[in-house]
Amino acid sequence: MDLGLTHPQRRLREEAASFCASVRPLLEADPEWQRQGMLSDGDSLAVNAALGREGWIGLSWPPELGGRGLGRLDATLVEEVFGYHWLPLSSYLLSYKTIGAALERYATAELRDRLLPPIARGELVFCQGFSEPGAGSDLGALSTRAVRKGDVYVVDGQKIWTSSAQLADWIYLAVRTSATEPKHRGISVLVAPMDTPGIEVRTFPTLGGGVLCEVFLDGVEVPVANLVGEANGGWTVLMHTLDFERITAEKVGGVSWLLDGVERHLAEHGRLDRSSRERLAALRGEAAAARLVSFRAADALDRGVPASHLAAMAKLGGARLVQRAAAAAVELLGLDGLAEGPAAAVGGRAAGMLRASVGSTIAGGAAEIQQLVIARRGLGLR
Amino acid sequence: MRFSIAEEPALFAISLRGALSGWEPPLEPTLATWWDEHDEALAGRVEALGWGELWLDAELLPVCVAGGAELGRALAPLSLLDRATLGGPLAVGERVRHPGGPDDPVALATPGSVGLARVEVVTREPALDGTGTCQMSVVSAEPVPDGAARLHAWAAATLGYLHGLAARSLEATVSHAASREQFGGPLAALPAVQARLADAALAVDGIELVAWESVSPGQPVTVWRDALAWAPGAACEVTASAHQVHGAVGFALESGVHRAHRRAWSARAWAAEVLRATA
Ligand SMILES: Cc1cc2nc3c(=O)[nH]c(=O)nc-3n(C[C@H](O)[C@H](O)[C@H](O)COP(=O)(O)OP(=O)(O)OC[C@H]3O[C@@H](n4cnc5c(N)ncnc54)[C@H](O)[C@@H]3O)c2cc1C
Repeated sequence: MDLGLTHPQRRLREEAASFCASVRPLLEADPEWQRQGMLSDGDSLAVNAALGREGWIGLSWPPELGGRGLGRLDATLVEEVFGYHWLPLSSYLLSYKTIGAALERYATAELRDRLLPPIARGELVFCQGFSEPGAGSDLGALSTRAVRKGDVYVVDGQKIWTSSAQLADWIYLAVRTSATEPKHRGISVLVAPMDTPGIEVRTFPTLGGGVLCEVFLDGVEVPVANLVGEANGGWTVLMHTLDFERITAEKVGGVSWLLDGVERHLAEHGRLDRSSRERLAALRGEAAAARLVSFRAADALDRGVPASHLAAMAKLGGARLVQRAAAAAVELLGLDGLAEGPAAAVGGRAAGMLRASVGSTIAGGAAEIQQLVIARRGLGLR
Repeated sequence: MRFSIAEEPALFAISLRGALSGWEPPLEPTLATWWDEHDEALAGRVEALGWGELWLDAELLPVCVAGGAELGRALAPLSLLDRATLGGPLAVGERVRHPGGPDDPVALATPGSVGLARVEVVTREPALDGTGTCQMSVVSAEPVPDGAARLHAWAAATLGYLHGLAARSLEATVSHAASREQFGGPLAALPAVQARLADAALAVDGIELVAWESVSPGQPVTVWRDALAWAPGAACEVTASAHQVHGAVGFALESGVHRAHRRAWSARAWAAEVLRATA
């Protein structure tokens, strides 16, 4: 193995860091950015538009779709840099990293040509309607129905915990298209503009400092042409989507920034002693492992080899890291670590991340689900 | 050894529970803003029951634990605990929580004890929890003869509080796991959920036992210090498990699941600071 970065990869990361510095004023003016304890849950259309304008969305897509023809690994390397600079990334992660990946592979050429270029320009933002009140970990139990009537599907049901639905242009929907097929076989994936009649969104505040949404679907007509993958073949599409969602290098970047900040704060206050140095070093080691596990999963996706268990490892490693690092930051900083807001130690990010990190072992599939994927797909346990 | 709670503290706990009933912490505070949950009306109700000056007699230490547990169960403001056991708001290092008026003395943590001090609030500091934390400077401070007794009473009540908080959190989680169905059955039937909740039950019982040991006669002072060095972290594990088993629903502020988690972390950081300052 050679796990060093190539010269072009290094340059790409430097360019990404310069871009992040250029959008810093946008971030500092945004009160949600100050409050949000998890950069990957944070959202800013202005930042997303800047990412698109400067060519940072869709690195792995071919130029004709608005990309740079690079790999998923390159994109993941850059996402870690975005995380280090604490960019609010929800729109980017949903639209490009997750849903974009599934559209690239499973959407019709027409749909792809219509949707991917505006995503890459930062002009079109997706949200992801998978979870429902009765279908969380057990996604296969979803009950939102789509009934075909001529050229349209008529969709009725409810989605919940939908990130970024309050500002998304389109929704990527998992729906039940057959009541008779076994659970996992009667599912399809549709995409629809959020301004389609019958779609309503309710937001509610979360512990992370942002909002999540409920999406109500009442007689929503979606053209059959908006089907992604085959009718009743949606489960494969969903699982593929999750493989991309679960690579979370940006979280590792956010943690690295936090650890650097904690170290600086302790040093400035004469509290950087041997035991805090050792604690920080061990966390940096854990971050290195989580980062490399993420990069390996991205590389597997680039090579088209089975990656579900590798992506689950990336997700689990990142989620555990975030929780351990946030807890350690608060412990090491003491009462300074409980303080919130820009005037506090590490800009209040220790307390913020402690709050928000609760969601990291839940979102994108609970930690226990990742463990099952690793055990079954990776270790072959039955 | 006797593993049941004596009648007097048990009865006191019941009357305290009555005074606390109907009080609920705010579910959806605005995050990252300064807020102080101290509630004067509630403070009046519990003081009227005799929840005050608990350091005066070592016989009252069991009341600290039993009463603290009721406060923890209710997630009541920590100001109730500080004032009844220390004689004023808790100050440690450069911070005070739930400060009173400018003329009210605070209890300042000092080596082995607390003293009474007058402080000046410098800034209100937004914090993870509704502790009304302020950065302050000490104007004047003087030792009090019963400072060590106050500290002991505070530690006992804090340990009780952590037990009550963790027990409430576990009970709510057990009931959620029993009612939420996924994969064709309740979450409670999943071995991973059972294992997690079993660990939480062990932690809750452990916190309760070290809390009571800390007020059992004839114990060296290190007993409460060791207990207080461990129990807050154990309570945080319980509240983290509560979040994990609740899933996304607990992440919504309106669920209130986060209240115990934030309080546990807040109590943990304050306890660690007190242990350092009083070592
Ligand atoms: C911040 C955040 C953002 C989210 N964004 C989106 C989004 O954009 N779109 C979307 O569709 N969804 C989203 N979700 C929802 C997320 O996918 C679900 O929360 C997740 O799949 C878990 O489902 P649940 O919350 O219903 O928990 P449940 O399924 O009720 O599970 C609760 C807990 O039970 C345990 N458990 C469950 N099943 C098992 C098992 N088989 N074995 C062992 N233990 C188990 C786990 O501890 C789990 O955490 C988001 C969630 C969060 C927290």
